[in-house]
Amino acid sequence: MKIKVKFFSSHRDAVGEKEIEVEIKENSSLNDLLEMLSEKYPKLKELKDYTVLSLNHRYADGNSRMKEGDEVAIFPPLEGG
Amino acid sequence: MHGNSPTDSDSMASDSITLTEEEMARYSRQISIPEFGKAGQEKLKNARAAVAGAGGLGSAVAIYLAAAGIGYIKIIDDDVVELSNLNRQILYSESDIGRDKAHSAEKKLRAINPNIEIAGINKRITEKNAVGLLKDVDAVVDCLDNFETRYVINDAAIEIGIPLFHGACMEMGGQVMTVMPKRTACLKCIFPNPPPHKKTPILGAVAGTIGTIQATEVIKFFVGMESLLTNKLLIYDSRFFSYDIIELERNEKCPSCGVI
Ligand SMILES: [Zn+2]
Repeated sequence: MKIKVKFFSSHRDAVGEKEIEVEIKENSSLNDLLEMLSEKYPKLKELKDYTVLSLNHRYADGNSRMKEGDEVAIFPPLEGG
Repeated sequence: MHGNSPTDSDSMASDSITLTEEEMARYSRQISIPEFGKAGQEKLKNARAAVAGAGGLGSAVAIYLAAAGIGYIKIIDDDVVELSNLNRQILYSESDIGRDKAHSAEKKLRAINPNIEIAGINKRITEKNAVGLLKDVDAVVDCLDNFETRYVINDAAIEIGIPLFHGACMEMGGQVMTVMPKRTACLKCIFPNPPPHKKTPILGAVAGTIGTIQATEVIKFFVGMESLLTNKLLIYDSRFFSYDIIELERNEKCPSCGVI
């Protein structure tokens, strides 16, 4: 199935793209997706501890499962003021 | 909105607060906003807010809250003004370099609006003093530059029961969320782990954008307007001029506001 992934801030820098389309196995979880993306974009691994996820514009944890056409966002907390 | 503005239920009835002729003229352009009116302005006059951190975000927040007529503004920061602050910290001028931010800010804000009470507090917020510093206000605006202290005021706001208006920025973008303690997601529900601490690159105008969104939230809250960024994280990126809103919910197991 195909899903859309958006990246923000440090995560966008790590991937070098603002938005990508990903082909992934049916019923995969967000953790599966992160693992797959970390293989392709190793810098994502360094951000793992403070990576925040959303699924279809809703905050989500790594165990959430995706379906065809879903939109995932991957972002960090920001520190600066 | 999740709950009333504190001024609705405050023991100080809003009819005991009256606007002077000067204030009616000063605020006339916002009093004429339909949801605002004279009653809205009186609520602002009765409102007490703390701005935690007087940097890039805090500058925009404090200036707009003062200009709008928030009756009492406490501005807390223990830094001194440096040359490298001036690209974004519009509260300060070159003549403030080397002076403490809290009192420089106080002076500047008083010049903008002499009708309101301003307290510049030259202190670092700690776990020990946070509740004491925030218990005499109705809202705290998170304009800090480190997560350690952001968590401290998140917890203090929950303990006291006042809303927290979170803002943060990096490079060309930023994030905003509003926390109604124990009713909507708190900072720790959403960001349980902080990013590594470093000097963040920030464009001044972007800190201004995020700060003015925070200030707008605070004003909307005090006036009693609906549709705040509660249970919502706004992510702004000026590189693409994109605004994304992520719907949030409380984490029942949150170490700061959880019930389990
Ligand atoms: Zn929480």
